[in-house]
Amino acid sequence: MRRIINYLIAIALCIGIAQCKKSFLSPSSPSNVDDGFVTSTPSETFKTLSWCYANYRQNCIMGVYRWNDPIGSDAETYPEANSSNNINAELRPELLTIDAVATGFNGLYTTIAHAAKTAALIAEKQAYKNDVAGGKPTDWTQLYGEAITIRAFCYFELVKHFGDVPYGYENQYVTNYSLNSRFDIYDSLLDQLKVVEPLMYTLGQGGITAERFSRPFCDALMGEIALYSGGYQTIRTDVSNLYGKVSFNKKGSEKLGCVYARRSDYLDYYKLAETYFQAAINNEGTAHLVTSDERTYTQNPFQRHFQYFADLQISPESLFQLGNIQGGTPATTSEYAYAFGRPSDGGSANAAPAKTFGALRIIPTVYYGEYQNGDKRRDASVAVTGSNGDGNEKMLTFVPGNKSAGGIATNKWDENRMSPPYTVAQRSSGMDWPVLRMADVILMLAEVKAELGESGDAIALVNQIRERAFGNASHDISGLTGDSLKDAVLEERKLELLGEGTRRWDLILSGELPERAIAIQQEMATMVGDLKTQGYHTFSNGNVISDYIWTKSVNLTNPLTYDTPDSTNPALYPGWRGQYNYSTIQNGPKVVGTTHNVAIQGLFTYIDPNGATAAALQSAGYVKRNWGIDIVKNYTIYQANILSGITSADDPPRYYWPIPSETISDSKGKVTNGYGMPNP
Amino acid sequence: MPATTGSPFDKRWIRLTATALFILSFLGTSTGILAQSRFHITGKVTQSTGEPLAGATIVEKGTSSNVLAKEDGTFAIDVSNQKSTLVISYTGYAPREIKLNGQRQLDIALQSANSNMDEVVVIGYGTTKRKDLTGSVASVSGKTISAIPVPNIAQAMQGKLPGVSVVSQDGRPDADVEIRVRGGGSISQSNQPLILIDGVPGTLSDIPPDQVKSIDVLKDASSTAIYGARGANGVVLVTTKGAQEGKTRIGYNGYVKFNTPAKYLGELAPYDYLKYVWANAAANGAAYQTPFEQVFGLGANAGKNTGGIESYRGLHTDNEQKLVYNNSTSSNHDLTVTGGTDKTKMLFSVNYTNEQGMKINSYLKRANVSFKLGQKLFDNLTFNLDTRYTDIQDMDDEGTTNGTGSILSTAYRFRPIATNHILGDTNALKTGNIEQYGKNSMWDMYSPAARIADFDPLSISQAIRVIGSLDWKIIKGLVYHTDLTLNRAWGQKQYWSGAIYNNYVDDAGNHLFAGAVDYGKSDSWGSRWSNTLTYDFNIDGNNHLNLLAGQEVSNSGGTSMDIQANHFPSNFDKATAFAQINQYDQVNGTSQFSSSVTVPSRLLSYFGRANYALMDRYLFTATFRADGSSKFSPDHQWGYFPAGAVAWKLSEEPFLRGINWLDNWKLRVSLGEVGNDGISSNLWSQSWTSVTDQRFQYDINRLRQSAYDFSSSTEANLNLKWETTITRDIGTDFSVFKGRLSGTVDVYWNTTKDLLMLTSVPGITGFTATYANIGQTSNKGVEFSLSGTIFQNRDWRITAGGNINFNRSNIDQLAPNVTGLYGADWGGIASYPTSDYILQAGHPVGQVRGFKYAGVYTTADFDYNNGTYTLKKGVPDLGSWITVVHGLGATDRPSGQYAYPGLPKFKDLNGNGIIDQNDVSVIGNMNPKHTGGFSLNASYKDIDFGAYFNWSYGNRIYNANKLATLYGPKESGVYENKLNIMKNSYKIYDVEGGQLVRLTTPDQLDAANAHATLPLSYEEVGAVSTLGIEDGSYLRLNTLNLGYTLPKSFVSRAKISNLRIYGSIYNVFTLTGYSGLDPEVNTDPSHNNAVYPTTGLDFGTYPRPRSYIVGLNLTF
Repeated sequence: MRRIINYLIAIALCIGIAQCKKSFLSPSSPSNVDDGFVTSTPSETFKTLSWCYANYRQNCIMGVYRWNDPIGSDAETYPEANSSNNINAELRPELLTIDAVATGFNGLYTTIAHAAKTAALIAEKQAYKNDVAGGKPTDWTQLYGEAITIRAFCYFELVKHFGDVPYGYENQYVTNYSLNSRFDIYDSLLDQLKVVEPLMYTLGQGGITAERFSRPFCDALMGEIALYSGGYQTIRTDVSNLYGKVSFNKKGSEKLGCVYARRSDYLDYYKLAETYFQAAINNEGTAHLVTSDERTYTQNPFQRHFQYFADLQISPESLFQLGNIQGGTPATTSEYAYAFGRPSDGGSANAAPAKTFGALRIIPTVYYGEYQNGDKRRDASVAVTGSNGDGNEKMLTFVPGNKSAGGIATNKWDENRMSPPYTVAQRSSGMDWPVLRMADVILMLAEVKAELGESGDAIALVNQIRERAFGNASHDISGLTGDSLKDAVLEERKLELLGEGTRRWDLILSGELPERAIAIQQEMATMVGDLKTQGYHTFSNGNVISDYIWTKSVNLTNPLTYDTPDSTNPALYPGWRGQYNYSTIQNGPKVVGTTHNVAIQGLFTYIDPNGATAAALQSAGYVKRNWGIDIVKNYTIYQANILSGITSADDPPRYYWPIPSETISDSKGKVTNGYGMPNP
Repeated sequence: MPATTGSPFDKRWIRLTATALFILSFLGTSTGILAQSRFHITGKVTQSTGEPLAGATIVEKGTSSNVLAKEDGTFAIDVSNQKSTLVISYTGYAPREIKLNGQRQLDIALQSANSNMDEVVVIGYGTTKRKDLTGSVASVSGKTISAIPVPNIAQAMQGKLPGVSVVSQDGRPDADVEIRVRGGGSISQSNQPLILIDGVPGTLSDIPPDQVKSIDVLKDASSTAIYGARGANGVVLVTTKGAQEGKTRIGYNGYVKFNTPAKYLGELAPYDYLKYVWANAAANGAAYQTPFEQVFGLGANAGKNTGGIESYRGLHTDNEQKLVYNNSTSSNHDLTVTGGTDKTKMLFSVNYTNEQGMKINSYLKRANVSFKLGQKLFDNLTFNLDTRYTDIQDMDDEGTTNGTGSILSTAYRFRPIATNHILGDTNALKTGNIEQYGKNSMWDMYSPAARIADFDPLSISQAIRVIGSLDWKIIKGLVYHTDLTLNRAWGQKQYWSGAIYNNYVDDAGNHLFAGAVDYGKSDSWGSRWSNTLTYDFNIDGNNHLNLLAGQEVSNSGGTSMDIQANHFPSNFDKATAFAQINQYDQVNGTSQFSSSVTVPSRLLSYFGRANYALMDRYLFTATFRADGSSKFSPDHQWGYFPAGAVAWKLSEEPFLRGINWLDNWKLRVSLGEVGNDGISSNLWSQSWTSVTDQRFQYDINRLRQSAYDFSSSTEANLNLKWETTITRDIGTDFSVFKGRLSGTVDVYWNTTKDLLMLTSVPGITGFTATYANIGQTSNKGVEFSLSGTIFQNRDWRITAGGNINFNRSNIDQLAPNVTGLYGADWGGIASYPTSDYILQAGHPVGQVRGFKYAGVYTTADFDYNNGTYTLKKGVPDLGSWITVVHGLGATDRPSGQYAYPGLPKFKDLNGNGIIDQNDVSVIGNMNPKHTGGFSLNASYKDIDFGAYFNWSYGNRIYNANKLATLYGPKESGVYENKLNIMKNSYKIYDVEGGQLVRLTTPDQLDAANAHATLPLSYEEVGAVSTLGIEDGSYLRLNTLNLGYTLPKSFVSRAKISNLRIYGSIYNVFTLTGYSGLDPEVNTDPSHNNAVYPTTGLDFGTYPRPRSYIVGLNLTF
């Protein structure tokens, strides 16, 4: 027995000592993988960037800033009354809570941290170093460039929306940090992108599509960075020596520790922007401006670009569109069509189509007053009707609210135009998020050239866009120079890119935001005055908005409509509306009735409510509905929603978001929120 | 040993060992049968008062020989040896051992067990007698535990242990129970004490109450330091009943329990519901109002219901809550067989519990088999085997939804008018916005009962645990003990949700798809090996020393895999879907799957303890433990935990010996350090992990791309180390009047430093949080417990006991970069402020922030002009956070003003005229001033009676359930019923002449709202305010027992040694001013994954039943 026990003790001691090995207390799991493993091959490495793109989609672009960019201009606005959703768009950031966009701010830095880590790991790889020495784009140089571009893109978004921010602290445990000058950040980003750009794939090369960052996107991003460095912007005057040696030309007065200004050497940056935008066009690869339309039933190459999104495809015009997928549990954020699309009163699930909030509304003076006749972009861009959610078209109203209330809306994204629409649930259609398209780049290049005095080139670029919009060259512009050319480029951008989140930035960069804000407020006042006193208002192009319109439900063989050759057909005109034929969906949502379309009378001409025309319409089954009168009744809400933060052309526009409290309070006073925004 | 390459402890080896032991046990038993008896002993057993103790058990120690005392207390027993020891025991009395030393006639008086100084107390790696304890230990006997018929023994501990707070989650059958020893010092980490079942970490809910012999809770470091890194939150030692020698005994305990709801939430009755929702629908617009009027026949759409709303006056409420939860019946059966000889002892026990919840589709079924064997291999070597197998089926889990709660807790929101009581056009239910948004509150097909019935969240688990141990008495006083524990557990998640739950139904009720599954399997393994050497010896008559040295190593881990798929074809049912998971509809449906292997958790420890007794009067204890944990970086893996204690038995001093009434009096002082390593592994290094959440897999060309994410969202911190708690305790134990009164008083001060806190880091690093050792908390308190015999004679015995605890927890220090703000987020973005909790230095954890309610805005606060209410100068306005208020037009208020008559007014603390984030302050402390429990027990002859009370005093409750009814969510919220408190909410609509009228002028509003006590609730944001903070004090009669033990003379004819029948009521009544279902609130202590505890939040609660129990205890 004693021997057995002795053996036992001996065994016990052996095991005990063996387990004292250092590794016993440092276990690992095959579920956690190390740096070497995730960068072992290009396809493994892309998985780390896959997370970056997805995180950008889920936590950054969905941050509130992306919602306010497209609703805070003189062309676009927000539909609801007294909402906190559009405080930034109103340019009243002092009302924001300090952590209003903490998720977006932190999400961008998280994406930056991941991309930076991946870039650092690739940079150490011998295979990558060999490829760089080879001087030709390979999978490794593309991945490295992609990681650096993701990082730069996120910093660019940060600076755009938060102004000067701490730069370069990712993946560190920091206790000592401060604000960096935005101009230094821009310079640093440009320096890094310059290095990686030549070794990135162009579109179509190496299997790269516009759902990833490519060389032409990188070029365009560099162009934008240069433009945003050189353009007007609101800078801080409350942080001493923030901008170092950069000197400024100021505009308007200094208020709340900030002033509207641009750097004195701005032309150098416009030159850079010109180079890079041109490079984006030169390196476009398989991307191009969509100028033809293969559809037999309609001819609208402008709309064709948006139709690619509804078809769940990549548009050849896109330089980058953020990839998405339909359905899914939990659903990915395919929020764009829900937030900015054609409104629907449908329920959250199993509706025809499901709810579309419609956070983006078009200011009526733009819709009525600014499109020239023959511009195919108007109806494809602006919706006057939405959906009832049961297969029926519904007139929108100007009563503040959301869905079918809140005013005329964007028409560029409409779940009715999917084939078939995703009726299972709201916010899950799977449409990609548009980020940058060729027309935008072409017009930014035009803008830069106009500023640099290269008028002929600028006009040619603008006319490329106009010829697509009108289908012919008869609406081309000519002979413009100086400010009138710059105005023409801006106007073209406004109509071409309406609802795409660019107008606000165009106003800021051009230095004209305060004046234009006051101008739109006055235009609205004039229109409302006329509606109030005479029941209608006539725009210079002959269009009329009236207090009332007359509508009637009618049956069309194909309830989904396109451009119409017949502007007198009230069911087809204006075009690009109607409904998908939901009864064709097997096990689909409930469809009510058979008269799915709305015929509209009096949308562009005045009909006297007490006159014979009105009586005749009513006896023909038309119903008189409130139209402009609802703007009159709710004018105070429209006043609040449309850039109410600007009360004088002298005001510096305050379009920034607050840096969240955590980053401020941990900085020991070195980081503060400026522009009159809250500090903790 | 088999020549396999696997672990030496593989299944085959276990099987062989088990077989061998089984055979061995038979051999042992047969030797016992052969034993002979020779010496005849007689005697009498009495109480200390001289009353005979009929039925007392007399056992010859080390044999199976035993008898019972007769009616007059006398007994006769034949023993094998003149020098044998007799063990005399009787329930409720301290057992005595008497060495015969040749005596043939004995008179034995047993002391009531209230004199608990001789009671054996389990301490770490050993036992001691209570009188020799130097630390603070609270104990409760198995008998007390099993008297309370609950499935989780932790619930039965409630109110019975001084310094131990026990709060059950709520009334669900598988409710978690939160145990806090002296408050708990941690903030981010678990404050659950280390729970050891027979020395092995385990879960209290796995142990049937019937199998518990005793529960001892170690409270101060002098007793917990032996558990080092895991001892900071106290240690709960559960000892299960062991094998007993003696003749074979068979015990059966069983009960049936009838559960019934103690309370339903008061909801608006039909007439009030119609009036409220009609107005609410109108405020949201005609698209809501019209179909509602059509359905019920109201106003302009009265249709054939000519009486309009008046037709519903007096109609009784069709209460959906009663369909969702109602009476249920549970049962429990325990069977124990034990017996053995001086060489071999064994115990076999089976338990089956079927706990049926009151909610439809909720239950917990547990089967438990345990087998224990003790075998003396040689005179000085004993082998023990302890095996337990547990099988659990649990159907319960129901999550909460932001702004509402669980389906269960919001059942009251369904229309209170059953379909056959609707007087309007029920076809209108399928139109307009009711069809779009009102299904869950208006359609029978989607009623809460229908949705709950369509969701089967079944979890199945099996666990097996085997402990093998050896005790070797090397020389006198020197014992080597080793034990090896192996455990494995297998879990399955079989969640099925059907067509209704998933909205796979068309309006006609056709099921388009069958449902969705969430199917997971997991397994875990663990092993532990400990070795101790104990040396107990007298240096001389006055100096006694007990030394312990030991080593322990443990290792555990697991794997899991999970598959989810949805949109199964409509001909599928639950079983086919689980069996053919790849047959989901690939066009409409999606699937995902994942697998993982956990990082093993490892611990390597060395420890020692010395107990020194000087003249049996002065007791000294010193403890030391060194722990190495895999959860920290190599530089910080080792922690060292010393503790010491001194006790002085005053009653043994010569100068106090003369005092007759003083039995025992002891003073104790202790000081020590313990640790808390309750964090997950690998927080100190950054690695990558594959992404399973499909939202974080990018999509290219509509194809999901695999992704790698950092394996932790917190920034790695190489410097992480232990959380250390220093405990200081001064206590006294006393027993007077021959054990008729005894008690304990303890004063303590615990400080937890280097708090392992999840702390925020600036987002510019790419991370928002990291774990760091920052800050300090403390708990100071006093505990009193007292028990005594109030009256005792031949027939009667009345005893009472109680304890009261005062604990003050405090955050002593927070790192400067911790804002301390965090949110329960019960309303998601729809509640304000979103950070409704705060940690502040100088205050305890569990402070709720919000506005101070100051009544409603009245018309007197405004200037009224042509329909517009303009705030008077000096009256503060609401901030922009209140956003949309339904029912208000553009001209009802001036632009930029938010206030309107009827809206809630809050205190403008900073006086700047705007009620906003700057006016948010702490509005409630969720911590009680004191808690406790008391019991009263009485017996008269064979009848016994017991009543157990527990209470909490001075704490607040954050009634989010109430706040959630006080605001007006849009869309689906429009048609929901409200709590009946809303009858008295401010109105801006009224019914006049059967028509709904918008009240606009001050006169109209004033007339309609003369008695309004609550604000108008049409705003889309719910404010956290003092309206939702209520006093949570309560006194509960937790259990009431009445039992009758049939006379021995009667039952012994049927060879029954004991038969008791009893009836109990659980949750008899609760005295409280709290308006919610139950003031014991702990449904979700970290709601919405809040980073710090969301103490006192009442949201989505499953109501506690009142239970009536009938049961019997039977022993052969």
